[in-house]
Amino acid sequence: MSQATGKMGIWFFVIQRLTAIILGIATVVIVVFFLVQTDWEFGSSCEVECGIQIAPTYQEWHAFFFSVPMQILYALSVISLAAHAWVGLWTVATDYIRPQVFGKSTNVFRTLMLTILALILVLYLYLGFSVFW
Amino acid sequence: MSQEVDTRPVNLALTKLKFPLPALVSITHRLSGIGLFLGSLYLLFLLVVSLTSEQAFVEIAFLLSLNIHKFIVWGILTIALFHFFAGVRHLLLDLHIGTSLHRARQSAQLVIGLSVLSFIFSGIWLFV
Repeated sequence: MSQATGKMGIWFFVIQRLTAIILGIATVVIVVFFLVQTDWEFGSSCEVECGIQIAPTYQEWHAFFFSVPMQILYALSVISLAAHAWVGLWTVATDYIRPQVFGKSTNVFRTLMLTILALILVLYLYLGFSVFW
Repeated sequence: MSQEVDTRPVNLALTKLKFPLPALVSITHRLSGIGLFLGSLYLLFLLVVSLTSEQAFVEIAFLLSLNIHKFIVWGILTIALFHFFAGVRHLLLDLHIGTSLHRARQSAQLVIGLSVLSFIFSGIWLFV
């Protein structure tokens, strides 16, 4: 596996950083959305059930999510999540599944682990994009 | 394309080494990444279900009002924000910003400080 991906290092490096930026933007957007949604009136101005104003209504949530900018950001984020996780887990797999521990079966273990992780990430992609159909 | 497997021993006394703060932030960044791989399945599931219908949205909202799920969200939020802050630090280091030992230590402290603040703040946001 390490041989097979030996020349892809530069792409892994670039993909990891590009996807990091997209996921970072998505994180900021979602945090700001929930902060804006929250009713920050405390104390006397707070009427009944002060603790649970955090959740937006379904209509607000649906409208926010299916606005065109959010759909684009979400689609990019789902792809980025899978790609970013893939590079990160590949790094972890190649760093820790090593001959000193796994001996001659190192490559078998690595390939097995990376194959399972890739399948899981394909499932993430499918789950993520299932909101659109 | 050598097929030989390197099985020479490595003497790295991990339990005896003293890790400087930037090293700890770096390894925690990696661990938090693995955590987010798992946590994002939970979040993705909630997100997708919450958008299928109003009924499903109400059920997800009820689920998230339960303390057990609040603790899970708190954990994922904290891990995600730590990963975010440490990630920004790494991106800046990639751009050769703050690479001196002094600055690297300071930024590692800043990452931990911001993470603790977001841990506290998200706890208040979720539970108060």
